Amino acid sequence: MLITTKLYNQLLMMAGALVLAGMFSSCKKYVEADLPKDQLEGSRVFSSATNTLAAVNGLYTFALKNASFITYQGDLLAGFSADEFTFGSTQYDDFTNNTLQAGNADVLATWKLFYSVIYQANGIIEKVPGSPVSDSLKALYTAEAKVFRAFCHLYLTSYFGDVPLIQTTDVTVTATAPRTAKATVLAAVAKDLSAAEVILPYGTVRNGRLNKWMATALLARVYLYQGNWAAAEAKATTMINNNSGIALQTDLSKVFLRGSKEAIWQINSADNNYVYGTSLPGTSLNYQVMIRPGLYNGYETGDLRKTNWMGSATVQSTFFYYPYKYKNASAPASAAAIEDYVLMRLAEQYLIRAEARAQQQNLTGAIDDLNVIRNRAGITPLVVGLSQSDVLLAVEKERRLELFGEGYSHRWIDLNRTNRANAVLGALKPGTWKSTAALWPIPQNEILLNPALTPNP
Amino acid sequence: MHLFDMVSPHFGLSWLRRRGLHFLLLMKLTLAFLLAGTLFASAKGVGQNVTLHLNNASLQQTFREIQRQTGYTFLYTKQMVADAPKITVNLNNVSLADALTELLQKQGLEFSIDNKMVVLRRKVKAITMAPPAPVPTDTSGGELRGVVLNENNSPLQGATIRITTLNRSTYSNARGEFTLPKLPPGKYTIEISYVGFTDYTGTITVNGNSVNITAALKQVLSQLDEIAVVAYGTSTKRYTTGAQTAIKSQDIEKQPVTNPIAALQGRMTGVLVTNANGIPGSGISLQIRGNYSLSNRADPLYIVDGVPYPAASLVTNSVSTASGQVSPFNSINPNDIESISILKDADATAIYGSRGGNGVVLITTKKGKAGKTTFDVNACSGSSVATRVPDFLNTRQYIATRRKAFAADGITPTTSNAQDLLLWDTTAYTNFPKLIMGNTASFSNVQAAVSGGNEQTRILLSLGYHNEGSVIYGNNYDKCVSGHLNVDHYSLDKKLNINTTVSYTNDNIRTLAADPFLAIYAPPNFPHYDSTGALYWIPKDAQANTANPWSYLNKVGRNFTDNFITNMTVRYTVLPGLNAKVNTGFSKMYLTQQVIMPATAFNTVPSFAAPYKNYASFGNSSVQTYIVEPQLEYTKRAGDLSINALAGGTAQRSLTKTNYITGINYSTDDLIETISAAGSIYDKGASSREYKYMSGFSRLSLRWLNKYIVNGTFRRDGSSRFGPGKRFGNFWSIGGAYIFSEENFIRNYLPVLSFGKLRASYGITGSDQLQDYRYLETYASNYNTYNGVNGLYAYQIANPVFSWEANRKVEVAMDLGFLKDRILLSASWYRNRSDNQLVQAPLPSQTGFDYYQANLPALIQMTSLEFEGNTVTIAKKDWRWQTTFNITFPKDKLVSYPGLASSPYANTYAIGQPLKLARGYHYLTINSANGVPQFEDQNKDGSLNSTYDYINIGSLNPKFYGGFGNTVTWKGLTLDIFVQFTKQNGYNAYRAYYFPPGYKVNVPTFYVKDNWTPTNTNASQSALSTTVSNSNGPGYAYPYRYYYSDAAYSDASYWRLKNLALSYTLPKKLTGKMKVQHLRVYVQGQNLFTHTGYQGLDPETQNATPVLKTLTGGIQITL
Repeated sequence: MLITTKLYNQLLMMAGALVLAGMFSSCKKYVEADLPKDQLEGSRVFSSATNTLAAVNGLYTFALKNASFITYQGDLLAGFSADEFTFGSTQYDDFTNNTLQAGNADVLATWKLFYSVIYQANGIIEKVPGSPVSDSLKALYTAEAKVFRAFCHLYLTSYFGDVPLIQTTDVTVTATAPRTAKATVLAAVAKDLSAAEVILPYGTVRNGRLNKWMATALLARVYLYQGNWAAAEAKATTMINNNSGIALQTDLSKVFLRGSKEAIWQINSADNNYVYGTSLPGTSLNYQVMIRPGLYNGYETGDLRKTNWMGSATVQSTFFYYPYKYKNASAPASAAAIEDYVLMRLAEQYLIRAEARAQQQNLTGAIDDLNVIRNRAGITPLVVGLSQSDVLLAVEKERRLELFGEGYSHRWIDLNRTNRANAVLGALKPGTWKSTAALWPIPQNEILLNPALTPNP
Repeated sequence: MHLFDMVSPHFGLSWLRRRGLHFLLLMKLTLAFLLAGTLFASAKGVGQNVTLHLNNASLQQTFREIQRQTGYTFLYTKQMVADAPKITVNLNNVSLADALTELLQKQGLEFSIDNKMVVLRRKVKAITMAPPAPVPTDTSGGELRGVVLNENNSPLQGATIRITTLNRSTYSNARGEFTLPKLPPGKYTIEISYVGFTDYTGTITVNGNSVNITAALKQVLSQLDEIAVVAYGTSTKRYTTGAQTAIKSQDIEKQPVTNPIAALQGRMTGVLVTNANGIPGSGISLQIRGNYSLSNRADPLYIVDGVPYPAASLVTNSVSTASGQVSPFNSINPNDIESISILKDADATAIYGSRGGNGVVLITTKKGKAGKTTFDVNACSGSSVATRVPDFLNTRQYIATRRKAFAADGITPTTSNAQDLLLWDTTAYTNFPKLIMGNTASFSNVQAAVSGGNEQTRILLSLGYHNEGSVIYGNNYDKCVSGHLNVDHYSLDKKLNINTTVSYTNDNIRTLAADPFLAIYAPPNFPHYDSTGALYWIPKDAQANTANPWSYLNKVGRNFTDNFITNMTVRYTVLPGLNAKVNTGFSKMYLTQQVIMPATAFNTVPSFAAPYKNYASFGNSSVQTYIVEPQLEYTKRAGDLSINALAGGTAQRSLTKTNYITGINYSTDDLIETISAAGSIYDKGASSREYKYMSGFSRLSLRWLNKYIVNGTFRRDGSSRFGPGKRFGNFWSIGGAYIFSEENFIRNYLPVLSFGKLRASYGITGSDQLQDYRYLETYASNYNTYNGVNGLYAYQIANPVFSWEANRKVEVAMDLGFLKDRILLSASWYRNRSDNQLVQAPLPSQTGFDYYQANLPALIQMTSLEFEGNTVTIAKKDWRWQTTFNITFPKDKLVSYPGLASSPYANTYAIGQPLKLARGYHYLTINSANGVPQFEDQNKDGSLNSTYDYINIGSLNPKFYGGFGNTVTWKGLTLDIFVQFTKQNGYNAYRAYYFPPGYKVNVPTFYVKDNWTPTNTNASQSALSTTVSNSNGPGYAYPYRYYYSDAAYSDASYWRLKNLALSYTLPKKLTGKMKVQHLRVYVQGQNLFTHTGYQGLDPETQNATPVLKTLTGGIQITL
């Protein structure tokens, strides 16, 4: 009888154990939760053509619409660092005085923004090849992502010098990547752009998707920055001789309007609440972007750029000039007055070619290019006979007057790449300028999190 | 109380065969006797009458006759009737019960009636000493037989019967019977012991015949033996190996609180309860043995009637009201709670595996009681005020201060910098702190309950309603309606038990959209209305905090919570000692929120006007959880060894959904409460998250000689929050206890020590308190569009390698009882260590992201000493005085953190320092030359910088905390006094009022007691100033220095009269006349008095709306 009891108990225990064992075996399946409804798993993004396209669209939206730096702040911050603007309050004093600390929040935000766009681009470059889209679309999507990746690296290296070159999404690689020599970064940028230039289509829409000219124009700039004068001249020439109708706008007041024929790449302002006109004067000086006297006094008499692109105002008894390339602070009533933010335009290409030609001792060619710009501005052309250094200075001056407040401060980047910052800014800001200020500090936050990063001096 | 656990039938098949089938039937019904009183009552209710005229009939003949007349059958053993005396009786049409009583009274038999069946059993006498044993003449030795019963004459199964001198022992069976055969002749002392009952000692003399004794054991009132709910079962303090503590309904009910968590404050060691603020429905935090998580919430696991309950508020951050993180426990009616058990150490919590890392809170709701159906109504009402309201300058003092400050600054007051002096009435006065948080809140609470049933089915239905006002201004309230139903059913053979609970709560909180705390700063002469009768707004003022303090009143926040919890537990006794059980539960909480910001609440001055006219946000959040937990439990006693084994599994799924939408520019404020009237959608969002969890668990408890106890648990958990391959984790614990008071040397030489136990435990528990889906690389849709297209952007970077965090816990404790347990003391020490915490680990942003989920290599340690004591100082018939005391000395420390300096926490944590660390500048003194506060420049670089000049100021965690309570009962009068205390440092008023005296905001009066002036250079306070923007001036220190310095950190210790309850129960004589079972009137007070040296508001909530001081009176009637 005892045996019966025991047996019974044992059988029962075994049955219980079996139930439990069965539960365990189905555990693995059970603990797979439904995916979130508001997020899409990465692998699913690139397993459908629709989602792949959405991810590429997302790159534009993310880079061009979420980012205050790209749409507005970038032009100002580096402009303060250079000799373009001052600000109505002390908020940007560290930029204006070139006393940036490694802990500066705006510097960190700039760094973050570019690298987050680079991640988006790398995701597309890595995963599009496995997506179910046609080979031509794969090539196109990859090319678009490469332009964004190049664009961001170009600015990073312009501001910070040597920066980590990030070409993968693998966090185990990217989290510890050290700084890459500036020359290597520029070479990688040129490589990305060259690859994209071949693929991207010709196009006439400047405020939409990337087209070939945007890669070409950017490539000309990169070659210039690299000191690869011949290549820079060649690319600028290709750009200037384009057959897509991109040409200098004769009326300066129309350069920044939507569909401007001078524009190579514009950001559509359609649903962007017009952040471009933010520097227009208000009731308080506090938020006012003011043009430095050196800049507005730098124009020759009768220069149409000063009258077209600068405004003046008196606020709280202070008279100042302000950037007026964009004239709308809110959506204009007339469709013809709609402005799109210009990322690149043809005038720069003339100036690139002028500089490249001057560097190659083609001073006549350089002066010809400068005069194209000067003629449009309504000022007297330069005459042949200047020395190389005079021509280069003339290029510098024309770039300053033509491109102020654009391209995330061409002026700041130019002063540094031509080693003119010490002379110019040292004279302008004698108390605070140090030659080491030519590079923005690598954000302290980043150095702390990635010990492989070294600070800028 | 799981009475049936203790006395479940326990016998084997072999035994049955031996005893015959009669006994089988009888055994089945043994359990039916457990509530004999009830049964008699029901027997009397039988409507059958009998007429008997018998002469010298046998008992069996009599039974047959009754069966013929009534159809009732009889159950008995032949033994019972074998030598029954013959019966002669004449009964005419009497009830069956009366007839049986008459028949059986001289037979030594008792009866009960159950389902047309009369069950007989031997009558047992409730005596505490054995009757004088017969003295047989046979000297060949004999047998001791007996039965062990409780006070209700129900058998006690598993009692230990021991004859120490012979080293013989046995246990009682399911009928309470035991046999010790073959005893040599002699006189013996018999000891009978049973958990939770007084020991029985008697003397027998064995001479060869069998000796019969009956031992009725009295239930002990010792707290050691109170049944407490523990993980997957019940236990007593006497035999646990783990650290756990509980609060019972009577201690919750005497506190006028609407959130049951609030009732725990100060009552238990290692349990720190902190209110966020005193606004109805606001958040309340409960930490069990400290928060040692660096970045996650460290909520314990909450389980309500077996169903996991959300610890975190459902509030959507996009729709937040002044109530802040509305506590989910606000929608649990404290009056429905039977007990709250807190499980603390590894031994007690490891069976909850991954979820038990921060401790476990088991909330058990009330169940019906068998017997007469009772109606209970309890109603009270009262009111609340804030414990402290800050003392600010009045208009006269304020204006004078401002004028002096302008003079000190050398600034001329103008209409743009000194409206308060030049434009406003300088005699008008509003005491804004009083206006805003000095109101009286009403409090009323009505509870009604019906309870009843019989031993098979019991039912409880309760309804509750409370309505609480608010001390902040505005028409604010928290109204809560709740219903609770519990049905507990046993099958006739007691093998099947079904217990089900359904609770529903509807909570409706109306509050302000934003905490008006900031409005108390307003200058005391701030005008209410402008000349047109609209709210006044300061024209063009760049200085901070110039909102009209009355404008907050127009901003309304609403939180509606529907909370539904149901559970069902089905238990089946498969075999004696073997129970199969399935617990299933479902809960759903649904929170609807509204934030209404009408146009009338906004600044109308054009340059300060918001970019929208008005707005309203709507949020819905819900969380629903189901859980299924099959379990198998086996209890066996083999000699001196008791075995309890438990195996089970958990399958749980939670679905959390959130939607919110914000509309702006409604054409009219009148239609603002519907999104359809919005001019445009400003913001929207939705999310849906699923969490799945599955595990298998087991526990084995061994108890030997009631002296040595070993308890081991193991759990394997799988959670959907981890990546494939990392989903499963193992957790275990081992605990042991040694009850040394069971040793003879203690009994003999230290009889004053009635109980002594050493216990220790070690184990690993975990936590999966992290967001769902963190292991996935995901993309999300972009809210913005580009060229009319919105795309997908990378939302989250994957870290598939993170896995369970593990907390290793070790505990050593001693429990002592003196003077028959009238004094109970307990001391414990524990250490919790965690070294792979799951955090949102920071990433360098060159990866494209700022954070990802990772295991952090920092080692965090909590150690603590906990003491508690309970005494029954007086225990007399009319007098009873009980005292409780508890104190906890917590200590937390960051032991190591590789790479702390290079982590984003470099300025938050420090090695060797507490986790909740205050860091900041070191305040020196007021510069006697210019009245500017001076702070220490640690690195002597000439400037103050948070990176280099911060020092470790101190811990923000309490140094110790606890409570001290006394309950004095005299006849029907009961007085409860409970004092709660905390020794701590915290942020003081300098952290709340960060504008200098003289600035265009009001300040506390102590800011202007002793200010520096050129003639008062030794002042303790800075010079007055109207500005904070001059970094060399005195005003600058207030927002930028004091706030971040040790001057803002000071003693925030306090003790407070947490609870005072006086109740009077009318004597039975009086209530009996009124046909009332029970009538009680009471007065209850919460937070009535606070003693503190803290400079600021309330030392508990510190710089927020203070906690409430509540006084209520009420009446409870039970019919």
